[in-house]
Amino acid sequence: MAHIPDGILTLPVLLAGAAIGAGGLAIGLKRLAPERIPQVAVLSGLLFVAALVHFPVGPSSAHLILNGLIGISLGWAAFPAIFVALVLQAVLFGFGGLLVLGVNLTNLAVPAALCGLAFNAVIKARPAWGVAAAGAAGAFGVAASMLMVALSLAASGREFLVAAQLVLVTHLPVMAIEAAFTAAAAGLLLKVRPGFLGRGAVAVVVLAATLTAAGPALAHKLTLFASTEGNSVSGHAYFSGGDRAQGVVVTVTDPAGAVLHRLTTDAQGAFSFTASSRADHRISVEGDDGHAAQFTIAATELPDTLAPGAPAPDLQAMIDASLARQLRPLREQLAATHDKIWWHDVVGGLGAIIGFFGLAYGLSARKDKKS
Amino acid sequence: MSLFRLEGIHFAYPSGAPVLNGAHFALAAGERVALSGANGSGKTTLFHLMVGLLRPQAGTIEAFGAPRASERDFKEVRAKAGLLFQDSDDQLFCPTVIEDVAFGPMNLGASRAEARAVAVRTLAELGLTDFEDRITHKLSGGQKRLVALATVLAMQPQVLLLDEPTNGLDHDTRARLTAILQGLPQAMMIVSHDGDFIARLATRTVALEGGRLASPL
Amino acid sequence: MSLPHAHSRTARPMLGGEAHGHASLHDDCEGHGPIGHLDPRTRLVAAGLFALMVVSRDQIWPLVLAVGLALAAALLARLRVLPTLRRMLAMDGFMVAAVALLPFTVPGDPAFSAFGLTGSGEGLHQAALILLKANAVVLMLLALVGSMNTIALGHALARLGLPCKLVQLFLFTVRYLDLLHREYARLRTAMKARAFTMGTNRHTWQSVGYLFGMLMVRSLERSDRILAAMRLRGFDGHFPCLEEPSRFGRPDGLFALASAASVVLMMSQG
Repeated sequence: MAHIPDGILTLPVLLAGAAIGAGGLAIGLKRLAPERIPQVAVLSGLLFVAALVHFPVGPSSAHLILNGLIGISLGWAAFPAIFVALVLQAVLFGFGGLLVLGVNLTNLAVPAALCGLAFNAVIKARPAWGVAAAGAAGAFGVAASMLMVALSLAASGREFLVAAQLVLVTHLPVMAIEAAFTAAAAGLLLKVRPGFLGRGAVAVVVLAATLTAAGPALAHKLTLFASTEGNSVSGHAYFSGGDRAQGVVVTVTDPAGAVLHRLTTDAQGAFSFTASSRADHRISVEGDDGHAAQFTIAATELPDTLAPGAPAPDLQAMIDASLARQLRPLREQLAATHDKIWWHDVVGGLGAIIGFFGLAYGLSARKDKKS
Repeated sequence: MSLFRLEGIHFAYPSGAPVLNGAHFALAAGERVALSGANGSGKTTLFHLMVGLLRPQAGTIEAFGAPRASERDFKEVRAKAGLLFQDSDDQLFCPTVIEDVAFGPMNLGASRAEARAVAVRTLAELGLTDFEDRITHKLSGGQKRLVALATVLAMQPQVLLLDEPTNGLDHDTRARLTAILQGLPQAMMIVSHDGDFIARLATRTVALEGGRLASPL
Repeated sequence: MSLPHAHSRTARPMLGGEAHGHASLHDDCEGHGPIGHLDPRTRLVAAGLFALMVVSRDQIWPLVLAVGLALAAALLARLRVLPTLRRMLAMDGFMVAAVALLPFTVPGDPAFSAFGLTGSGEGLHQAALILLKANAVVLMLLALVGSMNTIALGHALARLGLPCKLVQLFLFTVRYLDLLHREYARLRTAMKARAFTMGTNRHTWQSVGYLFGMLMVRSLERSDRILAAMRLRGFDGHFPCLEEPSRFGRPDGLFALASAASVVLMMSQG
């Protein structure tokens, strides 16, 4: 289940979760017309009841998570609906905790809202695909939530990586269950109460289009790193995901904006130059498609044998500088792996998961039709 | 041989006074027993006990020639004793009529195709031929009652437990239901306050009073 | 430990009961024990501060003290022992795994070995910290907030500045919970009467999907009827935000003092 208790996550993760959760809640409430409150409350209550249903999975059992169904029914209003259910579960059953409410909300509601966006877009374009899309939303809701739970854990410490992987693996059967479950529930809703699912499709298409446009932009984010050794500065540029950026123009300027050097990265995306003054060096790279990245080498990182630019450094500054020099490679490596985990794993993993379940569901649906 | 034999059944809900207090009862094949009693006297509770949805605090239940106590025992009983609920909305939950009627046979292990065939046949027998793809939720009250009966009959039970089957039905639907039930071979227990309906159908009457069952002489 | 005066909150609701025997999800449970006399807002704020306090501590002893404080609060709130224990143990399976794996994933001095793996003392320490924190927060939450009538909780949230719409949503949800749960139980009973059992197969998942779909349709129709009834009574699309008179009094002041003292005590243990 998606209820992380208090005491595991670190403060930054809690804060990030709270911020995203609060933002989503604000949007959800703003778009929620007062007349729809009884409707949303019904679904919120349903979410609460669903958590009491255990499905047997071999010798073990699994909970329904239901955020896919909530998402396709409510869109943005999934945030307040899930929030209320989480508060009630925490207070009445002791599920989850208090300070983690934001993270738990984010982990469940962000995938739900995305399901809503995607589902509405699909149902507008191809109404006949409604049931299959709902099944995919059911699987995606679980997959994305568990991925986010795993990321929340992993971001709180390396020691949780194994547990994070465990979360993902153990929820594979839940995805299958939730896909079949959500497809059935949505099928019934589409038949019995047509028009309830897939409202507000127009605004949603615009949003979805924006999101898809933003996707590649993020996927090709340029990143830049440089370090000093004596008075020579070297670094490299790479894309998120780890690919080196070859033949990209690198510009080095001083604090006043005057261009000191203009270089191009080599086949490994690397570049180097020799600093001639002890001043801040601003390094910037610009890719063909308008992506840019910047990095600053502080004056203190350069040896004081270089004459002009700055006042004589005190001892503290020297220690800082030496520390910075030693820590740099570490920081660089950390940032590289961080970016790598994010985009490769999130996008690739989700894609594979959705594809796999979509295929499985489609095949089984066809088999049913034949028989 | 009796289909059901209940001995010394005691039952009370956690929150209240005892509902059944040493009830004895037997149902034989071919019988249609009317169960009378005031509102809240425990008639529905008795039905739920007979199919194991509730368990007695004391007493024994024998059904279809074997004592029944565990959930596993009652699973067999539920396949052979069909319970028609007072409120058909409690019984119907699938989008279409055909899926709802096929639900029971599938629980008994039929394949999708077999269950579908049984469902089509059952609906035809009840004169609901064109109802397969109708949406259950949008049927009228009378239609819902007939479809609910079909969902029970599709499991080919040996006993029917009918809880207020004519409740809320109009004159025509009531006549139709009466005719259908008269033509069925199953043993029945019927809870109803509809005197005319009972008179047409029942072979004997049993009264539930003070937690015990008594046959009026 | 015995907690006297069992109050009316039920354990996990039994599924499959019917109207008479149905265990309510959220009975009124206000007014039991000294905690019951406090203003709901005091309890909410205290629970929040306590959680913040607990989560930010990283030594064993202050956390043991925190669990002690939470236990004391549970006693004062007259929580029933068994249901409370069950709730505390109901940590998610994978969280148990996350904690159990810690000794093997945190690097440090080997302290013990199991299954051919060596567990580190540091890992054990961290696992203990997490267990103490999670249980202290949950216990305090159940004691201070869980023992509160859910309607009172809604009003307290409104007075603490939660958006009006969100509070209305909360109150409506509370109102629907029992109805939904009862309807769910009735449908499940009817399915059981038709020989349905949960299994690991598509028939099960689809059937439960239909069950929830139907539950949704019926509840949505009920919500339509409720909205119509509200219109009949002059609802024009705006909820008046409910105002409840403050009940902040001497007990609340005392409790606030006691809470502050406990927090200082916990800080000083670090």
